[in-house]
Amino acid sequence: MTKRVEIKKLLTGVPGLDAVLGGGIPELSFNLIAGGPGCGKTTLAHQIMFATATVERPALYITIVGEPPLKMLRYQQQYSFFDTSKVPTCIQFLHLGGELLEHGLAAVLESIVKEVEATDPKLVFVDSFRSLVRKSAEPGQMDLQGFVQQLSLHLTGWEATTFLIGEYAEREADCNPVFTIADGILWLSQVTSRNSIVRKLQVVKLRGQGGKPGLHPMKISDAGVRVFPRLPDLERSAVVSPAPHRRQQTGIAGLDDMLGGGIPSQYAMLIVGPSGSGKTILATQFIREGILQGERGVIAVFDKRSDEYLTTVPGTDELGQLVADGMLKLVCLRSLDLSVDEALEELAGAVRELGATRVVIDSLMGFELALAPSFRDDFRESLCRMVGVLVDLGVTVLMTAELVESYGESRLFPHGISFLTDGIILQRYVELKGELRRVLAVAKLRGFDHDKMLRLYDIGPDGIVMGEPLGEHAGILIGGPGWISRDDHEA
Amino acid sequence: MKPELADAVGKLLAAEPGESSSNELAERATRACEQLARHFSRLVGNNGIRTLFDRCLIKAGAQFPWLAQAKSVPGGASDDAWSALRTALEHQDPDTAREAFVHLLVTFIGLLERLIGEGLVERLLHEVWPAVFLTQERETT
Repeated sequence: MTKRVEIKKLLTGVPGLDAVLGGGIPELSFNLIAGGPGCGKTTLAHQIMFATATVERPALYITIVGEPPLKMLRYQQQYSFFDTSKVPTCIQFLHLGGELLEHGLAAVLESIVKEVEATDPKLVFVDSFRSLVRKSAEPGQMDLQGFVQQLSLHLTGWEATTFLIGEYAEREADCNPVFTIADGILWLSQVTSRNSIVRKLQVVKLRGQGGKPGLHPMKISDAGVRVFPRLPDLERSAVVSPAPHRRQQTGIAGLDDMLGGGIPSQYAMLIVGPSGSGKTILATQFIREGILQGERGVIAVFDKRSDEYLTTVPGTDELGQLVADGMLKLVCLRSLDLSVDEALEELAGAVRELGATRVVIDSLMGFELALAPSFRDDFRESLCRMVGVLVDLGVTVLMTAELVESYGESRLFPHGISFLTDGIILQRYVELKGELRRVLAVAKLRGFDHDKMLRLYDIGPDGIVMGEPLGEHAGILIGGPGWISRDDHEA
Repeated sequence: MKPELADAVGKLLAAEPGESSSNELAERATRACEQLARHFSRLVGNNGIRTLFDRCLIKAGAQFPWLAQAKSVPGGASDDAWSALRTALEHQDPDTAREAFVHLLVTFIGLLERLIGEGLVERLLHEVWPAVFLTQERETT
């Protein structure tokens, strides 16, 4: 029988990063945290160190030439993860800038070896490794490849998990020995698009385990780095989803009949209509009805604060009370440099927290405008991914979208999203007997039969009230219906 | 100057005022500087420590002008790093030397606190002189 070595994974303590890494950093691995200036390398390294260092697993943070240690400590202390009580019992700092400048690479290696043998750290950070690379180019210096190999061998032999931190340009990855020898490479980058800057993290390499591929958005706040995995792990346990395709009523008498009993659960529905047609009202009625039936709901709002949002719909006080009672959660995402992954993380978190089975995204236009410009290019793809994840979590998703009308022509904004949905409820304005009236139709309900009639509706103090079908009219969708003659009708 | 910090630094010089010669006091002061430098140079390097100390010698020189003479010579031998300070202290009467050294070290600690925060400095000083500098946690337990 073959007994394979078990590689334990070290939880990094950086929200989202362990999911991207496939469970954590492999113990005893030799890793590189690389990227351009200002992309968060040192912050990420410190956050990992403060989360993982203990008295039993001490950390050694070696600074060479780069950011002066006093400044580094001064600024890193501003993050909430910086726990002064861990210094120096769990975390030791060592500056070797003088060794490098006065005696070169061999002296730095000797000092690191000596320190590791004396203090036996289980986590070693070398910041900035870039300065060693520069020094190695000077005549008479130790060969960089030899240095990295000896360092890697020594630190692994001393059972340390190592992180080298350094500034690198992407083109260097092909020719630098550090990239070859490293077991793991975390690449951080900043993408500038118009006035917006978006940070991203990529696991370029991770020996022995599968990470999540792709560029994952990340943010740096007072709490430190947070990574938003492109494909988050689904934890269904928190959500008690209704049986697939069980009907979830909207609470609007008449509309549920048109839908054949309600919206099939775990469907992604689109409510499309012009401004003022009552999309938000319909969506909040759907949420309210769910709560009446013992379900929980989440509403994602993008262009308003939660208190502002609640004032725009009938039953403001009732909705406010549902929020206070923990049955409804409003997730307000107003930032202009939002990523779809961050929005998804927030929504999925709220769904898990409440055990919600109904989610409203109000509106897709607001969502697209809240995104950083670089994410807007991939909006349809990202939305598809987001809806897929939410539906997999067991929720039914209702999205509102603006219909831009010039009679005779209607365009959906954002365009080209209807194919992402399982169903579409269409709202329109029509002129009827010199009066502007609202009509509604179920335009699509994948896999189920539904009412095809256009029906009048009004918005009353309690929300949408369905009216009569417009079976006697033609030309409604071009805004000017006319009576159908008796002959046509009979035919 | 924080009185409790001045008291703690005073303890490093061991003897009470009037009980020690200037030479003995300079010896103890130099030893304290070496201990401090040994620990803090791990954090900022030898050059970093000397740079910070030189800045404090100049600041403390406003009250004790003769301290400014103890400033390090650029490129000077590191083994001899504290000899100028020792000489300067030896040339003063014991009480003045004590007062000046306490002022110098409190200035140094104050500068470090300004740069990396009181909490971190407190813990690092406790590592150097555990009996003299107690951490908040130890004081409260």
